[in-house]
Amino acid sequence: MNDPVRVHMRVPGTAPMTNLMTLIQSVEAAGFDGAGILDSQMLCRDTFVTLGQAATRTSRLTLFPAVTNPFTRHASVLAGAMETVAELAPGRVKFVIGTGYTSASTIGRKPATLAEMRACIATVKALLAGESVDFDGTPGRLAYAAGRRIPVLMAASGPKAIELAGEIADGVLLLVGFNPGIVETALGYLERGARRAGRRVEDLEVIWAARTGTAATTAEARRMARPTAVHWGILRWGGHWLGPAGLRLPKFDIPDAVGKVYPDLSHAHDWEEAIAATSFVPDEIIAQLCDALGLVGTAEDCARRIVEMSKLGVRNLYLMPFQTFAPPEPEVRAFRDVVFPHLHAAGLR
Amino acid sequence: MPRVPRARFGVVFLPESLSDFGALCREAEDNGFDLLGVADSQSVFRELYVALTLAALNTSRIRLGPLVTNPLTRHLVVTASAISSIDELSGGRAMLGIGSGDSAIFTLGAPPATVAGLEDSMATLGQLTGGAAIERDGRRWQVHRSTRRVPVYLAAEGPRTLELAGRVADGVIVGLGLTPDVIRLSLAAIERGARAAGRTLADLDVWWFAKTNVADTREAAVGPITMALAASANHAFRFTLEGKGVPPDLHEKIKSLQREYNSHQHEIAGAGNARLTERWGLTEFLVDRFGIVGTPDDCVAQIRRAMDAGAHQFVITSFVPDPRAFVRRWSREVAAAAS
Repeated sequence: MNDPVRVHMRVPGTAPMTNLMTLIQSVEAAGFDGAGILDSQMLCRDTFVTLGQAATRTSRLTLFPAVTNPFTRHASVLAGAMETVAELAPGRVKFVIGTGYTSASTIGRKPATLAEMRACIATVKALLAGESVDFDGTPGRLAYAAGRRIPVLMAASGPKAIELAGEIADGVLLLVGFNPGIVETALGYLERGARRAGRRVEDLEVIWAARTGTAATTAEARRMARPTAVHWGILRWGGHWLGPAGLRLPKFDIPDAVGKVYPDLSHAHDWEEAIAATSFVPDEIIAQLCDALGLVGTAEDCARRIVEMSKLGVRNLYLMPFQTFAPPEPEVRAFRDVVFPHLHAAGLR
Repeated sequence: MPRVPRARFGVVFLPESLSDFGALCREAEDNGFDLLGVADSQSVFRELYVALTLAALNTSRIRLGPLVTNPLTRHLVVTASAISSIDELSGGRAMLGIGSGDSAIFTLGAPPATVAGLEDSMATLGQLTGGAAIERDGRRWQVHRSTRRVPVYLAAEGPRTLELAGRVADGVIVGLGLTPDVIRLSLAAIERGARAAGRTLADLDVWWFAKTNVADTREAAVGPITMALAASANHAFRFTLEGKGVPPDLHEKIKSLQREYNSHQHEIAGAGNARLTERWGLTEFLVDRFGIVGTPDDCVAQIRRAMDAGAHQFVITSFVPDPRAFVRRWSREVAAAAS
């Protein structure tokens, strides 16, 4: 049998706590390997309250904050919180940290710099390992570090961040897109960073984030994916990934309606309004963007794409359903009922 | 004749392990405690909000919250979001104890919050947990799911902070001591603050922080909690000894204790801090000032003395080797007799 494909699901803490636990238990029951609990302090319930409760209500699922950041909690608080969740769910936790997106923008600060990421990751790793660190001249350590293995992963979406992850982290959550050209290019950056630290890519855990949306028809899935496809493919990607993805897009004038969507296109509270605001992008370009960004289509489409990508060694996925703050119940069902059986038949589960 | 309020008790737990933490919290509830506090010191104890999650899941009546957190190690919106999550999980039982920061920040080499910083933080946390949107740093801060304003309790040890509590807090955890003169001095400061805001003492939920243990002999009770008494000496007098009712001949001894206090071993039984009270000849002073400790009869006498001076609600520490046995014994042999 091939190496299995592992699949983790993003879970936003937006539903009432009871529903949230039911959802996380359904993620476990559906056969997912892990659940990443969104960390966005204004929009979600506290990540560590959710992780702590999930640790006591699940038995197999890997749990991680998805993703936390180096500025809303002190590094020592992050390390302590991870060690605490690991105590409740030994061997089932990861630490995933990025530069911050809505957790930064909603409090009026910029995402963390790579220097801040480097410092925070070094501190958290040392504290979890039971080592002493220097806090502005005061030696600090985590008194209850127990030597449990808690992988420290960095979420990265740009070349320099990916290199840094390759250099300093135990692994990387790559938010780059999901096609062969992108995979090859991203692994190149990762390898460059790993080599800088005398390591190999094979030594790192690599998780591929896939923006995911399933529907009864491919066309409907793509329509629903419009806000995310336009946000990431046109507004935010810049030059990093369009080339590797093999895409050539015309230049668009961005209409005012896009700026009016709160808090932004891909996190819109009113999804239909966000879809309407993307009408300036034709369907064929949306289709190309969807394929480059992730898993968009019917459940069968998604299963086929995962099998294809697994041939390139992409075997560790993190699903990010389009509507960031909506409970991912349709995707949980689609994977449970269609995608996982398909992967099983292909020898990948 | 005015009715004498009965004594009520809250308890602070140190999350030193989570293996039996839920059962410990249930024990406190089953034994009649009204308030359950969890210490926040990330380098020494397990994560506050994970511990509070277990506390909320394992109890059904008791009020619970951090005793105490600080405004520095987590962004205020994170703190608001976290305590609102606990409030939701516990069905509206959360309270938020906050102070200027002790070992949580001293282990990071960071300075504590100022009085002005505390005032601003308390106002912000109250608004955010109440679901209000506030303008900060050019953005609109709002914890979207909050539906109930979580009451904010200020841990206060000096006249200025006690006045601040009187002015703006929903409640206060008084940490200046339990001797009658100190209780009167503290109540006067809280009342000054309350009056300045057009309120009265009765508008505040006032709790008195006590370092506690009960045993068959006084010595056996004091011995295991000398590190907790040292922690009080270190914390309550760290900015100044003036205006706090401390005999002048003890000032130098207290300063010496503070110089030798190790925040990395904060409240850890048997560690170096446990020897500081004897070393500086402060044990008796600190027992009298901050303790309710001794035989059950000793404890009841100390509680009655404090109640005669105007204190009625006590947050006791359970920083002893077997906290479950302690809360049971306290409930049966001390609380029952004191009430």
